[in-house]
Amino acid sequence: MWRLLATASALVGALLYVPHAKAQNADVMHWWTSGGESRAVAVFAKEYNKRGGTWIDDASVGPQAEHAAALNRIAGGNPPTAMQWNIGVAVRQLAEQDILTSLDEQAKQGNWVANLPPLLVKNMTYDGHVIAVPVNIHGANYQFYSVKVFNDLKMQPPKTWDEFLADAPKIKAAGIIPIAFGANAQQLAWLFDAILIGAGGKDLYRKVLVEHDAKAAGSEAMQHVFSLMGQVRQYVDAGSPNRKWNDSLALVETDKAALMILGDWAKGDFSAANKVLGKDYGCQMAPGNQDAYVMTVDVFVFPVNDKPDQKVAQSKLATLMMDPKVQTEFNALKGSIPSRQDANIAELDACAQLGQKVMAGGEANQLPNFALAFSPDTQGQVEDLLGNFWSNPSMTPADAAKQLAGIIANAEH
Amino acid sequence: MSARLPVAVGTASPPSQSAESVAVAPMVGRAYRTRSRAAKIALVPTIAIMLGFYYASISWTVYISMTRSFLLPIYKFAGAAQYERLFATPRWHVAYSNMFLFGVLDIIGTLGLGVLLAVLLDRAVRFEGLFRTIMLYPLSISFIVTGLTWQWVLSPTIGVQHFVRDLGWDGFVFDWITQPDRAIYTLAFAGVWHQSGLIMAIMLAGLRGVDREIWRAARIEGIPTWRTYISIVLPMLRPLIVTCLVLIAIAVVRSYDLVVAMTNGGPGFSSDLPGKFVVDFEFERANIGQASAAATVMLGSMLAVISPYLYFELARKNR
Amino acid sequence: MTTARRNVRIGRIGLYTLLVWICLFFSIPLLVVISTSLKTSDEVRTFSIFTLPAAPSLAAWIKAWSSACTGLNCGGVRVGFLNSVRILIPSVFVSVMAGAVTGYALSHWRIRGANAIMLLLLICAFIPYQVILYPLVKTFSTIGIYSSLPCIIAVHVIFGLPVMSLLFRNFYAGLPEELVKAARIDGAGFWRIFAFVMLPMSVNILIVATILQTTGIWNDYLLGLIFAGRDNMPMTAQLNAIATTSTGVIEYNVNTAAALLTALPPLIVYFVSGRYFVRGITAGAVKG
Repeated sequence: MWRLLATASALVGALLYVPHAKAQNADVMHWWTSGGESRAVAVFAKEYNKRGGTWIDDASVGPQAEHAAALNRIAGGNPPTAMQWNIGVAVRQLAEQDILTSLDEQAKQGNWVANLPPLLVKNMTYDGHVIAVPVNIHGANYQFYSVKVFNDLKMQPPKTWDEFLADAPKIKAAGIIPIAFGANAQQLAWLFDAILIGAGGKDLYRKVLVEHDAKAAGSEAMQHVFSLMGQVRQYVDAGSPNRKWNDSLALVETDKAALMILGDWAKGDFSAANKVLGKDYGCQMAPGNQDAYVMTVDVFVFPVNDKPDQKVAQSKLATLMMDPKVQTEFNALKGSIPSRQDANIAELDACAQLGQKVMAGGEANQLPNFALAFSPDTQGQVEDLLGNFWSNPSMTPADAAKQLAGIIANAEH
Repeated sequence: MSARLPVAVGTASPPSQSAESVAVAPMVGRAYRTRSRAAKIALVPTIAIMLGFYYASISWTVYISMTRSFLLPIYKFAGAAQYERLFATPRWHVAYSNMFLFGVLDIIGTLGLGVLLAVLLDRAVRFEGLFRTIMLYPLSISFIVTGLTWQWVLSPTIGVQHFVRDLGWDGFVFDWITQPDRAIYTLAFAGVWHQSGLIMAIMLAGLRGVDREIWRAARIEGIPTWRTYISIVLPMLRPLIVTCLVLIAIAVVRSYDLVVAMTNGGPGFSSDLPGKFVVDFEFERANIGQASAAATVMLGSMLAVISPYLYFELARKNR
Repeated sequence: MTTARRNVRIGRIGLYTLLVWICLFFSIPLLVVISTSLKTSDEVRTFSIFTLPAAPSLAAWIKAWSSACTGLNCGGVRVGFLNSVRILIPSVFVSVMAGAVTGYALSHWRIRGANAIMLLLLICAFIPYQVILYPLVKTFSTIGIYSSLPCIIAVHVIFGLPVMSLLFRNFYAGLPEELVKAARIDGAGFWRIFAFVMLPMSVNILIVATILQTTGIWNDYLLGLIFAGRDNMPMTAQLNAIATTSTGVIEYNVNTAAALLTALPPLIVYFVSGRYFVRGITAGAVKG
């Protein structure tokens, strides 16, 4: 009888032990659901499975739903192995709650810090510990233009915003929309960043976004930026309010609009429309942005987990995401450049090469986007202001700058 | 005589009827009183859910609105700071006053169209199933997609305006969705389109329940059909109309998908509604303190506006 | 006599004309959605929304059903179909029944403060559910059923309770009290009266409740995402993942096809259930 019991309990024990013995499951939450994005994330999955684990793909509907689901899973005691997050203050807020695993060991072994842009290092550490893994750097301040439109008009894509304002009436007169634009928070931020850099200068940009200098945010230079934005407003089409960026870009793809200011993710949309870089469409930095790269970074964080197999899984996953080789392969599909500056970029397209060249210009060229610069709360306030300014031509640039200064003054430092 | 004869049973009865039944009660005697322990026990789960989930959660929300919680709850008391900020936010004021404008338009439009449709279908039409399903289908399809379609239809560059101009009427303008002071009306329009089918179904269920005798009596007395509806049948369905009203009001207060799919609150934040304001702050902006404060104000306003009326409505039948 | 008949005929023609026009208005987005789903990507990109597809193709439908990707899972919306059904049926049944019992108890039985209970319950429906997700998750994980099929069903029942209760309460409040009293004299108790007197009289309102709950539960994705757990993801989570993207490519033809596919089950419920709307069922019940 006792023997039987002992055998039974040993059996049960063995059964219970099995999960630890088999390959570590990595339950990874992210919001990369569209074609190109999922092909890119498959690189991580394939590599993880190759290294002896099992990748469980947990894709959500955009960042909002993913954040809600992830936070609630953590609250419910069932955290994912890894989750995509918005870099910057959003990551820091997680770290403040002691939710994130420290990756110091993996970072040291992989020599991460020396090979990443300083701004990223600053944003992936908290209290001296590495707590996030940046897998790529998108550039948000490109201009993509229709080769046909500029050839037909015998013009060059604008190098400065003044040039744009000088050319736009001629483009418009030819029956073409000078700038494809959809007035939503996302595209307003891209445009504002590009105008702030191009017309206000990198110094002003840094003062407002990095140093949170309220005086700079209310300065005359900033008023000039807003007034320029107001001038650009007259060159968008009537269908612009709340149009998605994909639909705005479709205007460039179908040669109805001359150019659009947006990030390198545009390439995915162009290739889905069977358009070829260099032949159908061109890629340059936005007007006046030739030596600036507005970084848009995707990061993964690893919530604290007590299960030993999950700890192993997290370590494995973090290491492979920061492997330069894996990053090269991943970013070729994602359309961005590797976060690791020592990764091989020879095989990336001309647009990514251009971006990498600007990035290589040093820290002065490496600028944060809203997500890197502000908390989600502050970012939202700035976006509300931009939306309000754009949709109300009666709002003066001076008023807008004053409101911006108010927001920046209350932003976290 | 006519309204009271074979007592309106289907769904509703004239208000006077309950008073009459109360008078009957003593005759029935003590043992048959409609008092039962089983009835009370049956309500226990409901009350437990109400208190344990809803009111606990509401109290939690109210408390969180008095803290400086951002991404996750922080339980350190911080007074009225969230409310001060909320009331200093221009976007909140736009969203809040939009709620009343949108609410009134949406309630009148949805209820009016829904009742009209129910009456039309009640006139024994052929292909009723087809008509009914067409009116209900807006509910079934994800608003993410149909809202986008409305956005296209209303867009001046690809929608109706473009279409009519292509037909040759060059001066035609239909661009409300792009006008900050008009966009909210397009939301109300889509709201009516989305929900009136449901109201139709509820009212149709009620109309079908109305006793045939009432119709016969009305016909004998020579009352025209439309008057029978307006002065006899619809007043009998008062409780159902109240139900519809509450359903629409809930949709107004909580509307989120509708705004996101149609205008995303824009242009600027001109067509924002509190429901979207709350969710934006809750998730996208990781500021649950501010979201909770907004939700609390919303709930408080609803209490002030709708609960006295509802209490009156609920009480008028049972007492 | 003939003029009266002619008037009737004119009235009928007017009725049908009005109905057809209203249905056309209702169908505008549906027609755009259907025609978009039959177009090729290149055609969609031109945004001629009112033109019919040049060469109608079911490619987008097939892709949406069986091979559209959400992340690495490229199984289309069919993946979540069974999950949605498994969530839908018990959730609708339990929430409708819970509402019916609550509404019945609150309308026909003397319970002190019945109206106040109803009002307090109704207030709950006005809180945006997104703000109370966090305490709900905490509660469910304390109970120990968080992230499972019972959990998502419980959530749907809880969120459906206020409106369901109101619907039935107001319906039952309209029925004469004699119904219950008579049964009481016959010796029937609370549950017997509910099952044999009230439910048979509630067909119309049961249909409405089913329509309402089917719509809400079938179209939900956020609650599913948070409470159902990975293995029970509803179809709409796939749909929303396919239709929403921040920096990716949007394929409108696939999105619209996926939306139409996802909408079929509730449409069938609407079409079928509406046939059971009954007319004047209760007349005999009371008088007899």
